[in-house]
Formats: sequence, C-alpha cells, structure tokens
Amino acid sequence: MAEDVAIQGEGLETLHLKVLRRKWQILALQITATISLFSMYIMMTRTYGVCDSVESSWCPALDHTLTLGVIEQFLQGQPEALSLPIPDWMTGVGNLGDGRYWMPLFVISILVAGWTILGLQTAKLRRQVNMGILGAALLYLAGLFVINWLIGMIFSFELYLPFGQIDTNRNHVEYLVGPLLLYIQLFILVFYFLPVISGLLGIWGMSKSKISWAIGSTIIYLGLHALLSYEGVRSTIELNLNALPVQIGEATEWGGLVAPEIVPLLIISLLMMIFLESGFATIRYVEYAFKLPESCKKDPEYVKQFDNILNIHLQQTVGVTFFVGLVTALALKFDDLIVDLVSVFEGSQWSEQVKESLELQLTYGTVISALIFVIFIAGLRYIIPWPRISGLIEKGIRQIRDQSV
Amino acid sequence: MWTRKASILGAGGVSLVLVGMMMSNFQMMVFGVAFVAFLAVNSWITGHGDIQVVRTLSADNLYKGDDLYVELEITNPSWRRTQQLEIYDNIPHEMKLRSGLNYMRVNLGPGETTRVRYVLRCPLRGHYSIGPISIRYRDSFNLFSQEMYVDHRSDLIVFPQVREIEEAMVRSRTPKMYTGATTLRTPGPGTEFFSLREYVPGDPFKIINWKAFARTGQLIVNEKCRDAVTDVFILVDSRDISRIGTVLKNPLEVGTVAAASLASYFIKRRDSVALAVYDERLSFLPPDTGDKQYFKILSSLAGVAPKGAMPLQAVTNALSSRFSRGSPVFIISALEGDGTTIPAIRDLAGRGHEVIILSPSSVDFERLVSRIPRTSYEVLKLERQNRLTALAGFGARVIDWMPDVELSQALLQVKMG
Repeated sequence: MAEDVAIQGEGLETLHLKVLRRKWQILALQITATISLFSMYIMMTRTYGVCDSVESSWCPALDHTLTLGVIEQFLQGQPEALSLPIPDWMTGVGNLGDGRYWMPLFVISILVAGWTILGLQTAKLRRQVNMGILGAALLYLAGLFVINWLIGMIFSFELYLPFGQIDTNRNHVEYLVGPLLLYIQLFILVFYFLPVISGLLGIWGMSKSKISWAIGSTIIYLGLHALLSYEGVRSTIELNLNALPVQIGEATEWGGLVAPEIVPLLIISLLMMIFLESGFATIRYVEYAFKLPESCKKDPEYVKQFDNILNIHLQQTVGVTFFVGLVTALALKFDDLIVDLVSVFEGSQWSEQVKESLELQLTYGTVISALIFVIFIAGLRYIIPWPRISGLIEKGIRQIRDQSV
Repeated sequence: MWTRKASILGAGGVSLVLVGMMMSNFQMMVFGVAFVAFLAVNSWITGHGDIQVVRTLSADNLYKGDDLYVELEITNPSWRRTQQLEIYDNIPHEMKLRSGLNYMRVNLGPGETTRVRYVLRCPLRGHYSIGPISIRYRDSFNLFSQEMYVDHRSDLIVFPQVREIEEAMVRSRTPKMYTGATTLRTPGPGTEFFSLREYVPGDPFKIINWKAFARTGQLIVNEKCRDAVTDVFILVDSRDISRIGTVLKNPLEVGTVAAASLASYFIKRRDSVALAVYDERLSFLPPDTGDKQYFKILSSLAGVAPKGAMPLQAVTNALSSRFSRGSPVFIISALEGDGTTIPAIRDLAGRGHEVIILSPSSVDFERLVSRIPRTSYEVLKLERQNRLTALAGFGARVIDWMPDVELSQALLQVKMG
C-alpha cells in the first residue's frame, strides 16, 4: 500500500508569483480587461459625451474638454490673462471625436504602469517614492509662496500679510494661483477618468476594491446621465444634455437584429461584463496560486489544473460574451416574432388585442417580451443538455488528438 | 445555488428594467436585459460534483510522530466538465499538514483524472478517520455554486511510540528480570517432543505420526512439550486525573508509551503480555504472545482516553483470579487521587507478585501548564515521595518518572524497599 502513494512531484513550470505575472493566460486576462475598459470608456464618451446643441459651451456630458474649456475661457477673461498649466495636446482639449481621449488615456496608462512597477519594489522604496511625490506636491504648492513671503519680510524688516497690500509686489499669495490651477486641472481629469484610472490600477495592481470603484463610478456616471436627461428634469433645468431617444427605432444593425440606438448600449454592457469578469478572475486565480504552499506551487498536478481553470475561463469569456450579445439582441427582437406569430391568427379578437398592446406599448412591449425570451433561454437548459453536448465534443476532440499523436 | 454576485446581478438587472420603464429610459432597460441574459447564459454551464474519489494512505497503522502520505485520485466519469471544482479532504484536527495541501481547485474535463498528494504528521495517538471529501463546484464567473460531500473515509490507528528499553533492563539491578520461553514437562502447544499417544477425534492431521501408524496400524499422534512463558501484566491508569499536563506531555501519554515499550520488549522475548486499562471501567486483554497480541495491545493503547476514577484496588480485586501465580505486574500510574493504592499493592505483593510501579510525576507535569508556588510544590513533592517510599516498603519496585527523563533512563532508577 505504501508504494501506491507517490510523493508530490516537481515540474519545470511552477505557480510562483513571478512566473504567474508572465503567464500568458494571466496576461491575456489582464489585457482583455484593459482593452474592454478602454473600449467601454470610449464607447461611453461617444454615447454620453455629447451636448444637445453644438453652440452650448458646457453641459454635464462625459467630456472633460468641455469643463477644461470653460475654465480656460474664464481665466483668459481675467485682467491678468492666465491659462491652465497642463498643455492642451496632453489633455485633448481642441481635438474632436475620440481624439479628445486618446492622449489622456495614454498618459494615464504610463502613470499606472509606473505605479504598478513601483508596487513590485520593496516597501522601503515604495514609502520613499510616495513621500517624495507628496513632498514635491506640497513644495510646488506652497514652496515658492512661502520663500518669497519670508524673503520679502526679511528684506523689508517688517511683518505683513501676503495679500491685500497696496504694493502688488507684496501680494505673494499670487504664487499659489499657478499650483492651484494645476491641481484643479488634475482633479477634473481624475474625476472624468476615474473609471479608467481605478480600473487600470485594479487590473494591474491586483485590487478588487479598485475594480469595484471603476464599475461603481461608471454606473454613477450612467445613472447621473439618465437622471439629468430624464424628461422631468430636462423640462425644469436647462442642461443641454443630449438625451437618448425615448423609443427604440427600426432594427437595422447586425443584420436587422437590433436598432442603431441599442448597439452602443449593448456593447457597453458587454464590455462592462468582460472587464469585470476578467479583472476579478485575474485577482481570484493569482490569489489562489499565491496562497498555495511551496510544495504545491511546484506540483505538476496543481500547475496543470491551474492552466485548465485559466484556459476554460478564457474560452468561456469568449463564448459567454458572444451568446449574451446574441441572446440580448434576439430578446430585444422577440416582440416582432410574437407579433408575427399572432398575426397568423389574424382576425380573431385575441390576436388583435395582443398585437395592439405590443405595438402600443412599444419600448415596454419590447423589454417585457425580451425578458420572457431570456427566461425561456434560461429554462432551455432543462431541455437541451448543453454541458453534455459540449463535453461530448470535447471528448471527441481529445480522442482525435490522442489518435493523431 | 445563486451566489451573492448572481443575486446582485439579477436584482440589479430587474431593477434597471423596472426603473427604465418608469423613467421611459430604454438604455436602462437594455442594460437590465443584458444583465439578466448574462445570468441566463451562464446557467447553462454550471458544473457538477459527480466525481469518483479514491484515497490511498501510505499506512493504515503508524506510530505517533510518524508521517502519513495521502493521495486522492479524483476522476470525472461523466460526459460533462466539472467546471470550477474545489476539493477539500477533511483531516482530523489533531493531525498537521507537513507538506502539500488537502485542497485543490480543478476543472476536470470528461473522463479526466487528477491527484492531490499531501503528507500528514500524526503527533497524537488515537483512532482517526480521514474524510469525507467536501466539494464545491461553481461556474467560471462565480454565479452559481453548490456544496456537497463525498462520503469516502479512511480509518487509521496511530499507535503510541515504542521506545527501546532492552539496554535499560540489562543495566538494571536485576540484569534479566524475567526468563524468556522455557519448556515445562507438560503436554501442550510447543516445539519439543513430549510423548506419543492415541489419536482422538479432533486432533489435527499434521501431528499424526505416520511411521508409528505404519508400524502399528493404529493412529498415533506426537505430543509436544508446552512452551511455558512468563505472563507479564501491565496495568495502565487512564483515570481522568491522568490528563494533568499538556496535550503531548501528561501522565497518560507517557504511560501509554511506557506500556507499549514494555509490551514490545516482553513480546519480543516470547513472553505473554496482558494489558489492563482502567478509567471509568476496566478493559482487560488476556495474556498472550505474538504479533497479533502486540497489535491488540497497541490498538488498545491508541484508543485510551482519560476518564472516570476507578480505584486501583477494584482493578486488582477484579483481576485477582486472572493473575498468574508469581507473575510480574507493572503498574503505570501517577498514583494521585486514589486512596486504595497502598492496600492494593500490599495485597499484590502479599500474593507473591513482583510489583513494579512506573509513576509519572504528576506534580512536575502540572508545573508544565501552571505555576505552582515553590512551597506548595515542595509540600506536594514531599507527600509524593512519602507515598512512593511507603509503596516501596511493601516490596514494590517504584520508579519516580520525571517529565524530562527518557523511559530507558527512568527504568534504571528502581527504588527498592
């Protein structure tokens, strides 16, 4: 019996953190999450970053250039013409379309990459860098102001306040304006790009809370937009926010399956799911491998099963995303099918009533019938054994592969 | 079962649809439908826990402190993928993982097999059971999960350690205390020839003397001399009071080690060994020799737990008819909390038994877990010394066994009256 039990083996591949960070499946998950995050943000700006009329200078749309532009205009109207410190080519101000976002996204990516690399360094170095950044920020904010004020008082042999002086050379508080403008500009950028910043930090810094922040802030933006573009609000406050049409139009996209208004929303929801699932999965799997004891990290069985889990997750991400998109599109088209089916019984009172209610309700009818379709799809698993069919296919593929070997 | 995430997603999806309908906002409705569709599609790919598990142990019986190698072979016999399957092999809390892990996350394809290997250290004697195997399966996106267990258990016995004591016995004041196997001039099971006699029904065929049968025409059988051996009686005190000390170091633990070592020593010498364990009742294993008896003794000692308060005299009285005349009796007891110790030992010695008392010092074991004031300690020690001296006065050989002293060394310090 004793000889039946083999001791744990050691393979060439291991599950150490350093190896995991370079593992293609983990990188694939992280890159998938990153691309979906960027795409989701761009798609959101295309949908929610537009004002009602071109003439309006500002509206609460998801477009940072609008706010920066208004501040810039205000500063240039001051007696001493001021301007925002971060140049326009870096913030995307002045560009059109998606060009407004590429450069800030690129800069954010570089900063997050630096932050992630810093996270891999020793705690001492991390603390030193953090303290250095904080110190530099404080020095930039108040350093020049304090030095000038002190020198001014020393050379004039007099104590005075740094503002409200007749001699303008003594109003040293003006030295604070430049740094404060920078921080305001940074704050605005961080506010608009919060989903991207926290999302990237979450994906590459392996933080579940930051991914939750990214999703949370995205939902808040969507909720705010929905609220501000609500007819009741729009009729009370003039916000110039471009509201989405109330009713779904004719299905002309994806081979006549979905209406053009639905496409971006559907893509945003799919990208949000991909980002959320890939981001969380990376952390979940790496955490599991990290917590394994040393002997298990080297055990080929653990490595093989870890690979299995990752490969299946990647496959299912592709498959599930495709099917969710398809099912949602079909679901939103389901009312047409019901109307067509009902029209078979044309002439009867019942068919007329159903047809009328679906057509009259329009969006409501579409959504309710969509939910019925989704419930039908969920129940389909009791009729068609999907896991058995996929397992049969998998087994067949493996047998063919084994025979060829 | 829906996970928290699935519940939030489902509730969120339905809420978005409802709020969207109230606000005439179809973007919310589309998001809601997409969320619900995500749940619906994922419900197709929930896993399963119909797996076959085979557990192999490196040994069914092992000694305290030994390592146990465990291997779990998990096979997915179905046509479906298990999806994410967490496998946790339940191990007794007394055992410590030395290497590997009794937990694994797998995703087994149809017909696929994997193995979980780990090593357990068994620091405490006892009868244990490894298993059942807890299982949790879920889909890749952690939306639906189900928990179950495979009722597959493996029993094992952890024997007390057996120490080498031969050297100690040789060096003791009685170099060879008890004789090994000797022949008696009486018929019985043995190896040497005794006499011939007529066959009686029931005699085994292998003892028929075929030459004598050929010569006389009558069935004659060989009779052998009975191999007489010394019957050694070991009495182990397993009363509740013997738990004083730590889990690993207490009078009962060291007592079981001593009893196992003595049994091993005498059985190797082909003596017969009897074991009596007394706690709330008396468990008696009649004298016998051989590997089977050795196994019985170790198994019995493995299952000993401190309980009850049976007095020693009740034990000696109950066993008085079973004690062989003049046989040595080992009593392994802290001798605490029992007023009948002295009369019991006096009776045993009076009946001609050679009584050896191996007494773990309970006062010193107690010191391992609680601080005893110096004066109290001195008084308790003095009381104990007086008790041991009194016992020695009745002709018993008394060994005062301190916690940090090895068994072989302790056996050297036999105190004679």
